Amino acid sequence: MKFPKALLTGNRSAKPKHRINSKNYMYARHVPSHDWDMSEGYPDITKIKADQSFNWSAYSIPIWTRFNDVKKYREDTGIAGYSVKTIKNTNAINSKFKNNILELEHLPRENNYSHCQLSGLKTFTKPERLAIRVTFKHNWRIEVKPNVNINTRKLFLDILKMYIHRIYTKLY
Amino acid sequence: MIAFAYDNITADKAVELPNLSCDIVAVAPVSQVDIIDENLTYYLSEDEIIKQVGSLLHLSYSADKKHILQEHLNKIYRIKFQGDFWHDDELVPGPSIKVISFTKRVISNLASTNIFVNRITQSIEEGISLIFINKEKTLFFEFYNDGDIGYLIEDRIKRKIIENGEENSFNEVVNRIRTFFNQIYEVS
Repeated sequence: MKFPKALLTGNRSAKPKHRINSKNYMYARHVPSHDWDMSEGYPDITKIKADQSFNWSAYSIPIWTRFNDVKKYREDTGIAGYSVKTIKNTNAINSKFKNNILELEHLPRENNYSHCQLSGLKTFTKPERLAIRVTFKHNWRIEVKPNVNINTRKLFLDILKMYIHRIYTKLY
Repeated sequence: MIAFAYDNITADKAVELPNLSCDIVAVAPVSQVDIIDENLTYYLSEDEIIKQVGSLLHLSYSADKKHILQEHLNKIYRIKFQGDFWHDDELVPGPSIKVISFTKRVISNLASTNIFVNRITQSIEEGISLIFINKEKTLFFEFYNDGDIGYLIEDRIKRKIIENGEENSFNEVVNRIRTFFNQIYEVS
């Protein structure tokens, strides 16, 4: 796949945190580890990082998440979409946690304007982080499976969805 | 219904039973029988069901129990062999020798009471994750390189975390896992 120019940051500046809307999604690239097989759930909650990087759905479509920082396309990776609402409202699924314990920050990179970073997870104990990772899993959706490509129709719909998600960021 | 489970009869005899209208027949010890019921189809994929039933069939034979345990130990050996280079994206330290030994001890102990781990994998948090499934509940145990031990029990259907905490010793870990397979959890 050709690297999309829409991902380049150029002169664009970072958006403030409040522009990340609850209706948005965060896309993460997950490499199936050596012990993963197709019959098992994907991705694996044991592989979500405390400082997980994401592509923001307002400025990226899922498949673009396969490009790394040096524009290399990783077809072997799958893409999971995490609901911003779930990330912010952790209390709804796990009463142990308050809402907004985790923060999402828009931190554009030269080759990825949509780049966002999760923070706040490192302040928890490891068992608590395990609970948060499991919480994430409840509302994720698998956008693209590893080694699978998308067709033109899905590409079109994903681009349309990206613009809708961008409108959300301006409405609230 | 996908499968029936019978106790005290062999798989060969079970398939000869009249009025048996299921696709897969499994024989399992009493403690494992209630894993198989019609609700299984609601939360497990076909592959998972076949895997579960397959593992129950194995449990009927002590030689196969040894085989399953050996496979799990081999998996731990492979994880040890991968070392720090198991993650394709970045360098994430693999489990320490202490964690490897601890994991081997736990799964060997549990195997003696017919409890087998469903999945052994590496954690991004630097250590080993064990995943156990009992009906609609999943128990995650993570043994970390710094000596911490975390666990979590979730209800996959109701999407609720039932328990989440830490354990401090081998006995606590083994008891927690045994309790998981014996206890009925109430989820609000």
